[in-house]
Amino acid sequence: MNKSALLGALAASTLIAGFASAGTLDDVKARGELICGSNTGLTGFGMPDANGTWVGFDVALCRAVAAAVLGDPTKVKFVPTTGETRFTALASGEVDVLVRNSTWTYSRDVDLKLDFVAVNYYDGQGFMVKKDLGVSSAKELDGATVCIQTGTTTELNLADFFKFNNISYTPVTVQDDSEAQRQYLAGACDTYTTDASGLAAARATMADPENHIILPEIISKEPLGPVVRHGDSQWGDVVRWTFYSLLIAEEKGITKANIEEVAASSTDPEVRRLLGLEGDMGKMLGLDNGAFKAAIMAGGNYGEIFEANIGSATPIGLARGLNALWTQGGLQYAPPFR
Amino acid sequence: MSDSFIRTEMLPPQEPPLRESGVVKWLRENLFSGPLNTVLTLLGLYVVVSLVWMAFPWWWHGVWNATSLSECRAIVASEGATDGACWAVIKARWHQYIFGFYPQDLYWRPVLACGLLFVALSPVLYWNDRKAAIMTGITGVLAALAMLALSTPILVEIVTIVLMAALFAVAWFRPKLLIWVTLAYPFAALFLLWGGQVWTYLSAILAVVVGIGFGLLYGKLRSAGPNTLYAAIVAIGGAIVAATLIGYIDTISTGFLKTLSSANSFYPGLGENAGLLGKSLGALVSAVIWVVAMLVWALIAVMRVVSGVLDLNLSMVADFPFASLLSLGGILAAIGIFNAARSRAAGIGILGGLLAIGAYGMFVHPWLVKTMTGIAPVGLASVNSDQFGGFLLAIVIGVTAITASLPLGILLALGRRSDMFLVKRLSVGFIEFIRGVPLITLLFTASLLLAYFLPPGTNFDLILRVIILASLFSAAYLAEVIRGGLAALPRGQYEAADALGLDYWQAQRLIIMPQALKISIPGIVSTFIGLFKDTTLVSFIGLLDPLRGVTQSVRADINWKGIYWEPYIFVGVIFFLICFGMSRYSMYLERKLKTDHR
Amino acid sequence: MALASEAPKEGFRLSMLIYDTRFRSITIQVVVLILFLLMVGWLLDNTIQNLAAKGKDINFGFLWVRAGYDIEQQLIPYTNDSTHGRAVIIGLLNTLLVAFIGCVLATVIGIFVGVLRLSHNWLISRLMTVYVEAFRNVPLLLWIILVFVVTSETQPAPNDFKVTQAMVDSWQTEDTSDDIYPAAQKMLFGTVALTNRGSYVATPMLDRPLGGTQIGSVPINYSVLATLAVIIGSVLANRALLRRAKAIQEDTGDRPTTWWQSLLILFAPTILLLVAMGFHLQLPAFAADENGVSKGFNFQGGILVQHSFTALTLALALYTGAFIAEIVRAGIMAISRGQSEAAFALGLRPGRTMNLIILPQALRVIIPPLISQYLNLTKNTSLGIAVSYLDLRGTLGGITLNQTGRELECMLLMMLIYLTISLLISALMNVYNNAVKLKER
Repeated sequence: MNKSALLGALAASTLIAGFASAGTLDDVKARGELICGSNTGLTGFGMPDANGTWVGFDVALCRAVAAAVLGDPTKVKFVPTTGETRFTALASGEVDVLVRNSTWTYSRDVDLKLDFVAVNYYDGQGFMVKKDLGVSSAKELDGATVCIQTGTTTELNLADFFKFNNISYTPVTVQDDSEAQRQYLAGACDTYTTDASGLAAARATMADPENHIILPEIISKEPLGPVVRHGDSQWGDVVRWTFYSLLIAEEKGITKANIEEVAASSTDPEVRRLLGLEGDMGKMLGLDNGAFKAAIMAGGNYGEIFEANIGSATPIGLARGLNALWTQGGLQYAPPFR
Repeated sequence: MSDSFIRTEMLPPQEPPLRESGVVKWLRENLFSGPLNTVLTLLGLYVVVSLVWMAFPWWWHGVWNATSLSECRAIVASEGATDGACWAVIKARWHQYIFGFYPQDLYWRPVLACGLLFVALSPVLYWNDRKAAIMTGITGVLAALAMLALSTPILVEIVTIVLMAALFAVAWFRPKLLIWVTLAYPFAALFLLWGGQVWTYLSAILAVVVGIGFGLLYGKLRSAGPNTLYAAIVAIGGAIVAATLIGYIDTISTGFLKTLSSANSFYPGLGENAGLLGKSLGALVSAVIWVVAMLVWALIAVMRVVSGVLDLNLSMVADFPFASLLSLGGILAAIGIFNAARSRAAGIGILGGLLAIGAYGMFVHPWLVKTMTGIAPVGLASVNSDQFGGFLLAIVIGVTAITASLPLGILLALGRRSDMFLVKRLSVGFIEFIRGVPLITLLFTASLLLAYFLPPGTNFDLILRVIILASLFSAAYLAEVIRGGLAALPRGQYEAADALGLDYWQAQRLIIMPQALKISIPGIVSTFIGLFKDTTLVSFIGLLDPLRGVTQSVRADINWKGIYWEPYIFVGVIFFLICFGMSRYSMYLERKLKTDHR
Repeated sequence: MALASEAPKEGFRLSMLIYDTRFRSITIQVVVLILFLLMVGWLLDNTIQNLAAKGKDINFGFLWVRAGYDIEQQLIPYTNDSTHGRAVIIGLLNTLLVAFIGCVLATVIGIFVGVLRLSHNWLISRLMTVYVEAFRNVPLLLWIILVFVVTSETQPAPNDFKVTQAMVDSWQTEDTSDDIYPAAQKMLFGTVALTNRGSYVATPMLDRPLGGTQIGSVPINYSVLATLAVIIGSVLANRALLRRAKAIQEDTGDRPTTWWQSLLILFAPTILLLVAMGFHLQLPAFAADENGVSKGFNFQGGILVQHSFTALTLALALYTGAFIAEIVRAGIMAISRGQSEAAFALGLRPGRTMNLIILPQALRVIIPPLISQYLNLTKNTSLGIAVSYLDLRGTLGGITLNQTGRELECMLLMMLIYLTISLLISALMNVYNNAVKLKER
């Protein structure tokens, strides 16, 4: 009897699950930590460095949101998600926001009940081939073997492109980016297709970049951006306007270095509103008035984040292109901050 | 017989056979004993030589000091070789392969937890034997050395050495006392690995102690009066729990009735353009769900009627949960008190213990932890489980899952051999289901589906979810292993237990299980090895397993992009050492425990 | 807690439901049933609530929607215009293909290695031990990845098989010493080309096929059916011949010579049929212009066996083969020495001793664990995810799940299919096991 009582007592000491409440913003504040769905490792966009600190272009946006909401860019927990698990992780509340170069599509927005709140990177799907293959256009790829990553929009785009141009191909589906590159380099496929940014990054880090060319065709629109759950507009607004604040900061020339100086001297009413010196913009959203200032201070403005992680000074060396500000011929355009 | 031939002289003696010894003899006997063997040997030699020929330059030109793959390649090229291993990546990132992203200055905690694991295992492996002390001693020395290598704070190092020395002394002089280390180990390991306030863990231990104490109290009360009081308290507590349950059933039933009566969305729709096959498939699925739903609904309906009748009888208000609380509580109290006076059953003690734990957990635990933390905050920096990775993650998942699955596996095995139809069918169903689907689908369930099956808003750690699913997985396999052990016992053992007048659990505890578990040990160890190897699959749901998860994040680093073989070889060798060691140990144990002479 | 041994003179009391072993099992089962149903109800209720909260429903309609993605290995026709349902079937067939070939290969490897491990040849038995231990103690995932890398990295690229203008020019000169040839050549009379993106194998083609039809969306090929029918017919006829030979042997003691009749019956009808249908092999080759200079990216013609398939099958077979080797070894060692000694005493040769005495007995020990290895192999095919082999998990649990976002439906359907396969295999194998089981009286 004694032993059975013991066993029973041990069996009873189980774990009790916690319950989440209604608004994500309140949850995050209560938790004191933002949970951000990230890539398992994509060079330049999101990956852990040697010390386990997450760095990258997408990661910087998470840190900005954490700075805006919690005042501290380090209070982020990154949950690596795969192509398969990412949307479920978001839908089930496992992560607060998903910043994992996910393409904004109609069915994801409508059918999967997700909200894409902004586009932090305008991308498009392209092809990379070896120079000695003698191909100069994607339309010459009839009969080619193509490496693609599974679980993304790229495989659908690819099928559509080849079908539309009435040419054939052999797909080689690959689990992750580094594996796809290995296969491409080993010659297991004639061409490697993914987002143009990924191609540029891959090419830049190859031993012999001069022997590889990226074909001129961009076969799809890939607006990549942060995703939140459907039906939580307040939280969506927080993420959206945190991102826009970074854009406005770049537009207004506010950088991480000069932000204090600008705050002290600027007379531009929009800048003053942005930095919380005028009006109650932060409070309207349930944040501090200095929230957007903190967001900018976390990693700098959009341009700074871009240059630090994937810009031309980095080994990845992406040009701004479509992601330049609208004032410089790009697509990045923030609504007025008033 | 006629004398057709009679030998008249002896044949000349033959030459003695060639005296063979040494290398030649050995070679002839073992390698070239016939044409087939000669061919096989030559073939084998060819394979070995060509493998070495292929891999040797790569090994020989291995680079240990470099900061990136391109630097490695440059060094190899400068040596005039075409290909060389780049071990520098291991040198730069080995800690991530072992510990994941566990904070670097806290590495001593997993090391100590691992060391204590062996100390906790030693009394289980060598009960009341000085070998346990030897094992403790070796573990202690290794842990101290590992800490030294990991540049642990000197204070921690000293404390560890003192602790290990103390444990060694205990193991040497009073080996039996080590079992307390084993019992306390789960709490200690959780505390070391995850950190946090020490009070949380002490309070959890206290909860178990309180529960057991309260449970044992029942048998110790000699007279009828206190016993009846005890039983009454237990009955009331049980009633509260039951009433909560009934209240919940009410909620479910309301939802169910609503769903069944109105919503079409419940049927698995198959779309307009489904073919005949699809439609009939849909109809089948609908039918199955309907049957289950109707069963549940019927059960709830019966309960409603019963409690409704009780409502009328007791003329209580129409507040369902409250009414059922009182009515059911009354019944339970009646039965409890009725029986308490005349029987010395363990049931009430167990129930009492459980209730005590529940009450403690709900009321005392939060208060105690808060108060004690306020008074004297003692604890370790807490580490989130998303920082776990590499072999640390594999070992945590493997060890926790196998420990948790052992009791469940035993119960399932007993359930499968039970005479009770329902218990048997349910056990078989569970075991066959788990064994019939690949582990990877269970892992995807943990990551994708568990959110659907748990109450809305529930969300807990992915690693915990994986551990739960892995435990269920290995429990099903262990159940089959243990069932094999049970089946191997001669029938006489069961009959002898019955003849002694032992009841079911006594027979299991004293006669059957010790023998069956002993037979099952190799199977249990190989299940564990399998589970440990399978922990690599967690990378597919985004966890940082040593094989793919960590390697992927290492390769995302621009310095190590394109590295391939080295991490895999490194991880493979470690896996091999651990699994090979375990399988050898289980063979040793098998020989040691083999008491029958065949 | 000993049971009271009083005589059961009282009538039924409520407490007997717990303390009387006659009633206790009923009580326990009722409690278990209630708890089980409650749990099912709880899970269903949670699921319904969660679905409602997410605005989703349970709907398998997506199976009839256009899939839109391509699958490289397809055993029945499929294009990206086909439905998700068809993609699921393609995936299922791919799973079954790997499982089947893997099981056969693993058995062959296992038996060979198991026997060789017991060999007296020191080197061979050591090598086999190394193989068995290495494969058993390292995660399967690693082997799959490594085999995949080895198959794809060590083979030449298709480009290396190409004939260039320079080569053609060099062949046209009289001087043969400066001739240049492609870096890689096809094997086995040009029927097989191993490249780093897969193995191209010659396709069997018919000039005068018998045509075919479609049942539902599954194509039926009469030529294949006819060939299969002829082969089965030949095998049956051959068995009749052997039976007759045996009967004659039992009657007269002389066995008539049958080998050439056997050969004739076994092969002649099939060959005749194939010749009649105009059978020939379509060799994998590059398209070439009039000078013989190769064009295009890949071989034209021939069947492409993807390396993901080869690697998965091979790794599974090697891994499971190591386990089967141990089973075979244990099975052979379980037969006591007396059996083989008795056989030798009867004058049986070692080969016949193995065939007639040892193996039939060892098989009984071997079969049950062998079944569970087959099951393991079948389930482990889901690890094709590591090399992106599009099996059931790759299509239904991978791309389809991802594109439709219906994880609940996809996962449940996938589990159901795997469960069905597993139960079918174990049922079939149990039938066989019962057939060879020792008949005890």
